[in-house]
Amino acid sequence: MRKVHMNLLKHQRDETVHEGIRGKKYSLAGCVDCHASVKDNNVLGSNEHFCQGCHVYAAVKLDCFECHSSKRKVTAEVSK
Amino acid sequence: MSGTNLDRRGFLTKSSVAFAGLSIAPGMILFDLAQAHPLGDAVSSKVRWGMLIDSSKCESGCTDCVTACNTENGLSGGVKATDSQWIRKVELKDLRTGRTTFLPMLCQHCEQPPCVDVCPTAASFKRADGIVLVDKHLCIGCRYCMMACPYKARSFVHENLTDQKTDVPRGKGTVESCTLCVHRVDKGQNTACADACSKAGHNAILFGNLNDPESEIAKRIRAVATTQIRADLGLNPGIQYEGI
Repeated sequence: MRKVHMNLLKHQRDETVHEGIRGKKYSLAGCVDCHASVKDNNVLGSNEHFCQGCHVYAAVKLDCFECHSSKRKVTAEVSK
Repeated sequence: MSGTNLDRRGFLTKSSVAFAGLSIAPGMILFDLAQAHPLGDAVSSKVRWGMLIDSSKCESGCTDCVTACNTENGLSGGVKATDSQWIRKVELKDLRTGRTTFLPMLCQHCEQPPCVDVCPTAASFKRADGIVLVDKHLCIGCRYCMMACPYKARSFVHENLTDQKTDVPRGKGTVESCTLCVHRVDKGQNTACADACSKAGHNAILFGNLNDPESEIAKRIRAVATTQIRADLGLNPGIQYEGI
């Protein structure tokens, strides 16, 4: 997953944008939905956040979230 | 040889029957999924999304469509030259008679879009169902499409953005315009502006499938005189107006 997650996303990206195929297995919103922090519903913010942490460690530029939302869409009610 | 062929034919018949039997159950599951997620299929050219805007019902002073668009798509709502505006309310005045009409002006979702013709990277494209979009993964921000558009419908994002909507990714260095609320339309909903207009009680914006002769919009277009703005350009816009 670490190696190919960008390919999984890109594979369906063009189908979604150009052909309107939505609701398939992989989507960026789907990644964020699960991997966002329970504290602030975000995958970015600090090196403890899911996407940012790894990308900082690997020194790979992360530009998805310059356009896409890095926050969970429906703010989950954290029952804590 | 013929015996072999017969066997082969028999095998194919039997196996196809078996396959049909097998496929009923997965087929039914697929149908259920298709009901739950109508988003799984590619859009087809059997549909052409469009709008009919009745400017005689467009009230002076009401900007609900513009506000709804800004809220839905996460636009700032600013009207500076560098702010993104996907829909604008325009006032038309006939200088001879003094008659004033209002209409919302947005991407006209042309059948022959000039923005698509000029795009050097094929970022500007028309979906099979007639919605003209920018693939921002491909857009290099050259802004040729903005120059080509006779309706001045497109905007360029000049600054870094934060807090974009999940359904509406937007970013610096790319061109954008009305998406005909593609994320809502794919879910079977109306556009945000049309919903806001009917909520305000004006019903000036009618959204629907131009290709379906039974749709409300197609019936209306058959019944009343409608206008395409700059019809002389032969672009066949999907957004049409009446009462102007």
